[in-house]
Parts: sequence; C-alpha cells; structure tokens
Amino acid sequence: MKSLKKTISLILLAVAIPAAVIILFFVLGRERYDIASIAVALLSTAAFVLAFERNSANGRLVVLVAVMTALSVAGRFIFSPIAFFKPVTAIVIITAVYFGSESGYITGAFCALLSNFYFGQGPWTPFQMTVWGLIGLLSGLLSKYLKKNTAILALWGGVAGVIFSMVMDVWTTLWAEEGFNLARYFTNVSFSLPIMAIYAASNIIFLLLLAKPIGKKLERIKTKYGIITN
Amino acid sequence: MQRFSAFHPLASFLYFVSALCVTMFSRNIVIAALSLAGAMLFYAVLGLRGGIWLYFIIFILTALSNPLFSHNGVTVLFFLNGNQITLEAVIYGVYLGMMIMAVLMWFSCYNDVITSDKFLCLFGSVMPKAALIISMALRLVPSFISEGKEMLEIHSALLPSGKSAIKRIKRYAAVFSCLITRSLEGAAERSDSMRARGYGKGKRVSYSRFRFKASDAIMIAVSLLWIVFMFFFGGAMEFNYYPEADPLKFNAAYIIAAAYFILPSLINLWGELKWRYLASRI
Repeated sequence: MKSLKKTISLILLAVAIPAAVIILFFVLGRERYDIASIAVALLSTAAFVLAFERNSANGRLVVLVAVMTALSVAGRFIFSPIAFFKPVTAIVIITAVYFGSESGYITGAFCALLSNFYFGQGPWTPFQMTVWGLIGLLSGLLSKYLKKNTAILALWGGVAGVIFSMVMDVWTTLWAEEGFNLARYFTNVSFSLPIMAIYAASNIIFLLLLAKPIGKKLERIKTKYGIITN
Repeated sequence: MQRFSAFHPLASFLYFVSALCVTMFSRNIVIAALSLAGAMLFYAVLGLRGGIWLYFIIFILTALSNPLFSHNGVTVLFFLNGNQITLEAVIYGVYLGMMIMAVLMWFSCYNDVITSDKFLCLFGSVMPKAALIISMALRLVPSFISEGKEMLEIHSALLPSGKSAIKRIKRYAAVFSCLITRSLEGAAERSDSMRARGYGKGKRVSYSRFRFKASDAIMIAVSLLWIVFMFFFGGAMEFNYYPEADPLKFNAAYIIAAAYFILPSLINLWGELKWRYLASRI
C-alpha cells in the first residue's frame, strides 16, 4: 500500500510536470519559460511533500526534520556576528547523508520555507525550496561516498553552494524576459559571484568542522531511539 | 469587514496569489503600473516602511540595465560602444522594473498579512505532517536562539579566546555542535511524548481561530473571477514591445484592474474611516 502511494507521487512527478509544461506552452503559445519554471517548481515540491505525507506516520522522523530545519534557521541568527556564515546547506546535506534522500529533500524544502518566514517570502520561495530540496535529495543518493570521506563531503558542500547560486540566477534571468538571454545570465552570475564564493567557502568550513561531530550525534540518536530511514 | 487582514486566510491568500500571478505574467505595461500603484498604496496603508529605498534601487537598476542587454527594437536612440540603445528596450526596461518592484511590494504586504499562523491554517488540513513540521520548527527557532546565546555567553566566560576569525568560527562551531546535541535529545523525547499521546492514530485536527464568513466567500469569488477574466481577456491586452512598442490604447479592462489592485487598500481605509466615525460618537 505504501509503495503504491509512493508510485502515485512518482507518476505525478514524471507525468504531471511535463504535461503542465506542454499545456502551458500551447495555451500561452509563446516562450513563457518563467511561468513554466514556476509551475515545475511548485508541482515538484508538492509531489515530494505529498509522498512524505503518505508515508506511514513516523513521528520520530517528523520531529527530527522539524529540529534540523529549526537548527538551520537558528544557526543563521546565532552565526550572525560572522557575516554570511549560513549553515543551511551544510545542515541539509548532513541530514540527507544520515537520514536518507527523502528526509534530505523535505529538510531542504522546509528550511527554505521556514527561513523565509523570518527573512521574507518572495517569488524566490518555490525555487529555493526546489533547489535546496534537490541538494538534499542528491546528498542522500551520494551518502555512501559522502559518509566515507570528509574531504569529499566538504567539496560537495562547496559544489552545492555553487549549484544553488547558479540555478537561482537561471530563474532570475528567465523572469526578466521571454527566452533565455545568455548575456543577462552571465551578468547575473557575475553579480552574485562574491556571495556565491562566500556561500561555498562557508559550506566547506562548516562541513570540515562539524560533519564528523554532528554525524556521530545523528548516528547515536538513530541507534538509541531506533529511527528507521529508507 | 473592518480590515483586509481580518479576512479568512483562504480569501486573503487567494487575493495575493491572483494579484501576483497577473502582475508577473501579464507583460502589459499598464497592468504593471496599476499593480505597482496598488501595491504601493497598500504598503503605505499597512504602515510598512522598511525596504522602500531598496525597491527603488532595484527598479532603477532593472530599468537602466535592460537597454544594455537587449538591442532589439527599431527606434535607435544612440550608440554605446558600438551597440544600439533603442527606445523599445528602454520602455521594456521600465516595464520590467515596475513589474519586479510591484511583485516585491506585494510580497512585503503578503508577509505582513499572511502571518505564519494563517499559513498553517491554510495548509494544516491538506498537508498535516508538513504543517506539523513547520509549526514545531517555528516554536523551536526562538528557543534554540536563546539557548545558543546562553551557551555562547558561558563559553566566552569560561574560555576567553582571541579576536582572530578562525578562533571565533571555532567557538561558534563548538557552541552550535553543543546545541545540536541538546536539541536532538530533546527531539527524541518530544517524539516519545507524541507517541504516548497517540500521534499517527487517526486524523489530526488543528485549532484555528479563523471563521469563514459571507464576505470571505465574496472575496474568493472576486479573486477567482478576476483570474478567469484575465486568462480569457488577457490576450486582448497583449502588449508588444518589440520590434516597435504598441501605442497605449484605452481598454475597459484597465479600470477593472485598477479597482482590483486598490481593493485591499480601500477595505482598510473604509474600516479606518468607520472606526474614526464610531469613535467620535462615543
């Protein structure tokens, strides 16, 4: 039963999103990548959250995701004396590595939503949810390699920071006009380059310093309280 | 209805969704201007202040940068480094700046009206687990912050460290790690307590203090009608910027759009007037 319901959300992911894009393309009849990208972001987030809803009610996992999400936002405030040091991506990656890709996606998506309750929701919210969620999903899939070697983990943290920034720039470019203006995209990227570098560096530092101790704690909690992850 | 924020969350949420969709997707310069005017009015009526200069800067940057990227259009104004700067690109830049500024300002109003409890009321029944995560995390964030600050104070009292950046980062990392231990242990206890109270057995109900009134139904109907109207008649308002910008023509739909965008401000101002009148008679 559980697997059947997971299949439904997979179908939603695999069929509804392309269908929505095609319908939008024909109804609007023009290159409206901005609308299509918002539709894709909203639908994919909805599919993942619905799949998570349909899972058997695992109270422990729900609380753990809530705690990790809250930690990532609280971290932004606690680290505020150190400019630009935001532990969000690092926490999403660590959660995904130890609790699987689904928890990773959910933690990533909710980190974006929750931190925007404090820093302001905007048109960027669905995209942040999708991108952070996907970073969590990928980290969960790569967990075998990431768990083994802290250096690879830190490197992946840097890469994830770069991916996050560059995907957000894609969206900013799509929003500006019909079609994709490459010159505009590169200008956007060059504007966000310093912030991207700080993000990537802070992810690397954070993961080098904290991946091991946090990982140990998560493993301990997992065995102590018997949390089953997929 | 006294205030726009007193509407049921569903009604005010739908209003914002429809206003934002039309602003973002219409590509019509008049609609963008009307939306910006409506958003600015509502922003002022709500008494929001911060960020207005930032929005103006974003508007100016967007408007100025577009002619540098886009060289379409037939009316050449002048040449810059061998690239033509066209009137059409300038007009499109102004449109783009107004649209982006309007969306950002509508979102500021959204953040003021749709508070987190309203958001949870909206999604609590559709996505109970997700809503539980959000409401739990919203409660945990302030307590983690105060716990973290307390730990930082203790840490710096016991182990005064230098001013160097690495030492500071290490201190914050140690405190954060400590906070994680504490919160994870708390999480396990919290979930035990949830299980003891029967979490996962049967449907979850959530408390909400919002009641659905007739005025909410009217508001929802207006928002939905407006979206349908724009969807079917938006084509008639299509505005081409390239190769030559269309001349501005009067369209009856603009009056409807203007009325729609100033609706929340009117509701708030009407409530304010009524309140003043009633207060003066006491």
